[in-house]
Amino acid sequence: MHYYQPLWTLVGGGQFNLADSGKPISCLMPKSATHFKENVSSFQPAENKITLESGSTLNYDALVVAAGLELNYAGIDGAREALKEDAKVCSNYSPAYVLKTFPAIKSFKGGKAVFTFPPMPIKCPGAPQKIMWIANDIWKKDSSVGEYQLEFNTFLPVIFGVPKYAEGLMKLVESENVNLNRQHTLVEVDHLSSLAKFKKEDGEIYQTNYDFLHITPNQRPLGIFREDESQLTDAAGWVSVNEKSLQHSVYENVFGVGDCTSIQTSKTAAAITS
Amino acid sequence: MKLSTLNIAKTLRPKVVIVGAGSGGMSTAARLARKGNYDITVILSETYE
Repeated sequence: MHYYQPLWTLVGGGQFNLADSGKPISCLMPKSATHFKENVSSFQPAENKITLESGSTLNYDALVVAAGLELNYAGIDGAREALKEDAKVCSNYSPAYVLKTFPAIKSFKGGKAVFTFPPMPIKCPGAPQKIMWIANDIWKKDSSVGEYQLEFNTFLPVIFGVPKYAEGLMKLVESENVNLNRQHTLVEVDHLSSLAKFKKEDGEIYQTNYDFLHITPNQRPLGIFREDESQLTDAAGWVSVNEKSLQHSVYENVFGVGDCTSIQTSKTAAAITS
Repeated sequence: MKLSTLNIAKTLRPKVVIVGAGSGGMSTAARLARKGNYDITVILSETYE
């Protein structure tokens, strides 16, 4: 499936169906294009070729790498188990878990609602917060929801990286009485005890119970780039491109697009168009 | 940077391999297809959890 991922915030918020955010690749593929449904196993940019998992190789005149990134739920202890077992735990970032969000919002009847923002770089840095404001809007209007506390735990030292928006968001944080914990990174979820544990800047652990937990997963380059030895990527595993031309820093016939690249913007279209 | 600045512009029908079929990969494929003169191959690996 090809997904329009920005819609998942609204799928989690109950305004769209997940099915409406995706189309089979075959519907979108240009008729003239050849489609290989298998993974790349390695890149040989010096020889203008890639090797597929089947062992076959493909030569090219130009290569465009638009491979995306990896959601690393496993990087948070217990997160996968919680997402699979605990109806109170959800995550808009994955088609496997986004369908849990709206039911979790609707079953919340008060208590503590916890939202997380992981270490950068990540895809859209607005999304971890958008779902909090959407949920808050739903809960405020629902008379069956009792007293509740919103809590936003973020890796960042600020509510949002762009000062212009941070100013407005801080007003909302105050008016909605959000418990804003800066430089708090989710490291463990114990769903049997409904506990979320965060590492603070000083290394100390802060833990809180939750009645609702939205997880934004840790994010990293795909394994093929983390282990890449072809000079396609920088030390962190992002495809190194010129940020103006998207042309590769070493191989002139290689280009990188989107989340897999080294460009220093947030990995969202809004950051590029601003 | 335009592809025409590369040596491949001399190739009659340049072969472009695109890795990924998300927003970036599919829009690149669509634009090259519209231009008409490219041999396009898309490699898709689905990694959604």
